[in-house]
Amino acid sequence: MMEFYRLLRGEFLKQKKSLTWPISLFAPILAGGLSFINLLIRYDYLMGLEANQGLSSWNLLLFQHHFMWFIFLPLVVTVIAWMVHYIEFKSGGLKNTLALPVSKKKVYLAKWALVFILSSIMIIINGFVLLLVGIALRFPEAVDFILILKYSLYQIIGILSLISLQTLISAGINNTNIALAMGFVGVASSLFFAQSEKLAKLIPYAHIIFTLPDPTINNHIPIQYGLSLGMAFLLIGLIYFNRKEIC
Amino acid sequence: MSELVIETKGLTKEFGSLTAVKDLNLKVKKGALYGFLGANGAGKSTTIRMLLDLVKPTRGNAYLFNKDIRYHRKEILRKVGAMVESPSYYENLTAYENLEIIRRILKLERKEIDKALEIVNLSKWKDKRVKTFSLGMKQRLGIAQALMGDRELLILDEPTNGLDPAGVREIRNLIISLPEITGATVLISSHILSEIELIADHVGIIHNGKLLFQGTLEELKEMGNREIAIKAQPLLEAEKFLRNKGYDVEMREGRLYITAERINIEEVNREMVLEGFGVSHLSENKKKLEEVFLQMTGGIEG
Repeated sequence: MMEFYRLLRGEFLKQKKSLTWPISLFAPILAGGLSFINLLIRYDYLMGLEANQGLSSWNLLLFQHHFMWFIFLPLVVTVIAWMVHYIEFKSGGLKNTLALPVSKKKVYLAKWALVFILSSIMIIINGFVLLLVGIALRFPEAVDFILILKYSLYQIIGILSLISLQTLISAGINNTNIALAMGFVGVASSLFFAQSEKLAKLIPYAHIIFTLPDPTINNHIPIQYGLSLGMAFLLIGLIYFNRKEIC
Repeated sequence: MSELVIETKGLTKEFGSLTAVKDLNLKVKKGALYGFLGANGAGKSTTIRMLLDLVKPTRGNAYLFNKDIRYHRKEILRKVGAMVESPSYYENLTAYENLEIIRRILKLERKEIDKALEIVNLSKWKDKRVKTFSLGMKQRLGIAQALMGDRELLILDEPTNGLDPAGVREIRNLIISLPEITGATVLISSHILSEIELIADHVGIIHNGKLLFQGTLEELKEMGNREIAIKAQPLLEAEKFLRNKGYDVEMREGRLYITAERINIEEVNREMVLEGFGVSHLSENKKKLEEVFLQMTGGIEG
């Protein structure tokens, strides 16, 4: 466990002065800012729409925000996963790290954990920003902490599958740019996959779409499949990386 | 017999139909500065990767400190510092921060960073970002990474690659000083014969994946055919005489040249004088290391 912790600390240090942190911190602020402008201008109009009848202001905020966030979050997570691996690809550092007395599995796990931590931070900041947006817009209802908490939690679980898949692809393909391109294609086509729930269950890029806490959306998809596929891809990645030859 | 730090037995690596390393039996003694010489693509880097368990051998075993790397990987790598193919560094970080990553992973004391920087003469630049470094400084940083944590064996894969003559000289002097400063055994790979000649005391020559020679530098120099130049009168009769004695004789520019794997220069002189020839010149032309190497590798040098 200590070895994993030490490797993880090393991974954090590698990202110092890189764009990973600014992207993780500012992506939710940017998305929240856009949602704020959207509702500042269109709140009355949106609340008056028949389709939005019965929604609370907090529900409306999440609905509006999610239209952008379901694609924004997987994209940024794909970029973060790419950056974490690209830094090794660029520096040739992996072969020298693996020439140290460390477990290969833990090296892989540390990279996965770094992407997961950064993604979780991003999701949590997103929750806080939504809270601030609601407060700033002076919603008539009390702050719906449970709704935002559920939204954030579903995302943290739902993003697991994407993180595990992107980490596996990035570790498997020597040119990490290909992994990035594959991720972009996956995210871009996620909405098409989401039209079939059966298909969406098996496509990690589509899991985030189903994280909006709403009775009309099947939240079991990110919870069940995000978690199970996340663990499955992580396990495959660990086995693969442990056997991988560093040429 | 000295203790072996590295020993490979029948080490072989195949990539599909290509045999990168074939039946390699490498022996590196403790305290040696071992030059692993071979042309580009000869199998040096693949061998080094197998020694570090980055690549699995198709057949054979690699023993470091008398233990098989496949079964005692972490235990062995604790004693090994390596720079594989090119130094790795994170350009967004300073030299100190790059070493801090290694320090954290290996759980070393902070003074180890200063010590390594001091050895490679980078202390002055420790807070500068690596992206501002010259190639020579980056190579020194790579060596500093390998030095972190009192390693007993240093494996440096082509550490002078891409450097200008001044940089080569600087790294060469650093490497030569390493066994004395650190007490470590050093294995350095290179495709440049003159580099190995200046650095190493033991040499292994690999060609097309096969180890052609292994021994001291002196033993290598003794390898191959020796040549004796003779100036004698009458020349044609002397040539005939030597041929009759069974020597392989060649006449060029008024001199006779005898080449043989083993030859006794005094014996040749004595025989000729007793036969009544006027011997005015007799000298042994020692073959240059380059010639020995070319002869060994079939005229191909990297």
